[in-house]
Amino acid sequence: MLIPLMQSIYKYIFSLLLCLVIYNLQAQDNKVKADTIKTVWLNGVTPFVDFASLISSSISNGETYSMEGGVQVAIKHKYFPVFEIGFAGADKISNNNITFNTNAFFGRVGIDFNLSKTKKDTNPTNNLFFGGIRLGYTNFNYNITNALIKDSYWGGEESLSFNNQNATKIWYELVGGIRVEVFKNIFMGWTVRNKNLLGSDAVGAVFPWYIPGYGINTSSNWTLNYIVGYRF
Amino acid sequence: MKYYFSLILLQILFLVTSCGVDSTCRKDLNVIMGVSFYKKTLSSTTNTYTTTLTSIDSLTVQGIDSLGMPVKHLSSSGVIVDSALYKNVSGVNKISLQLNKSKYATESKYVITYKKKSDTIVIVHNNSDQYLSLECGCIKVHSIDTVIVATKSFNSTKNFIESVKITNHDVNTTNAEHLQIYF
Repeated sequence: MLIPLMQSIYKYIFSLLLCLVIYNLQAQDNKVKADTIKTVWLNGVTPFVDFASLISSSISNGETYSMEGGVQVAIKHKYFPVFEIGFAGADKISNNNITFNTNAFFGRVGIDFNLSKTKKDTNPTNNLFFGGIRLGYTNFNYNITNALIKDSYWGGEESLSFNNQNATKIWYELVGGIRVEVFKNIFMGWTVRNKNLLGSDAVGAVFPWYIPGYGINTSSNWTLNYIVGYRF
Repeated sequence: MKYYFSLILLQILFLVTSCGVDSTCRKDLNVIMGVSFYKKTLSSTTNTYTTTLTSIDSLTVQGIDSLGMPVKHLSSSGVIVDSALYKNVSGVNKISLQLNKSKYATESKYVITYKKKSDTIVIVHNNSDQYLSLECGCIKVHSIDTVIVATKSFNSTKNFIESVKITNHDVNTTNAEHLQIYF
């Protein structure tokens, strides 16, 4: 009578110990995983190209054209420093037959911040909604030709040209958008940019109609990017 | 969720594409020199001159070219006629004159006729180019140096103009006063 009771007690204690050991092992494993997530701060490097600029270039009949790409680094799934580079230009004839042309490389540096909230103790997702900032820079030459001044009373007209004008432009951009991992390590997404020039042109001075990387030379611009990238 | 993202993307696309830049020039491409007429009256009690903006009648203003001939233009009927800026107008206290825009021009001459008396004013000025935009191009702006008043035959006697005062040397707008003519 006593022996089977003792055997049951032993079985119960053994089962309890086994459960505790398994639980402890699992807890250690989770801790190791959690520690691993904490220590991995670099989550990948993503080169990307922008297709929206290529599409808008193809529908603008050569008046403006642009191509750009970049590299973005993912840090702790929160911070995404980015470097963008591109080539853009314009060949424009205005309504009064004044011509403008330019082309140049441009560059931008900045950072995106993951605005998606992830629950604690869950693996961070690779799909994100983000906001960020950029600082853009370009140095370029441009030509303006055939600016006519007509004298309706005294008669005569004068054609003015401004060739090889040089300009350096710096601007900042406020960006927002989404990135989605459509296949493993392949990302697609769009970015809306509000671009704002730093500094302004002197009144009466010649100034460019188009700024590579910025767009048409107004104090503020809106543009859209649609990017495809691969995360290494 | 994807549906909402697509909808937002579509709206943004419409927003971006609808924000096109207006390519029409809406600025005035002619700058104008404003000239006002003032009457100078000597007060017998204080023995000082007072000036009052005065409207005048029977006023004709005609530009004179570098050869000393009236500026002409081809009329709609194909006849070359004198281009009077003002022809026998009445009740005006301010006139607007276009200075010569030629890059070689250093002066603009006008014959001002008032009640059948004519004086010539010679505006000595510098011209420079001012870029507005790709849509508008350039305008010519002027800086008035001096004003010389003479009779139509350029002798030193004046017929009705007593003096001319430059109130603003820079002619770069359409609505400012630059000269005051006293008579």
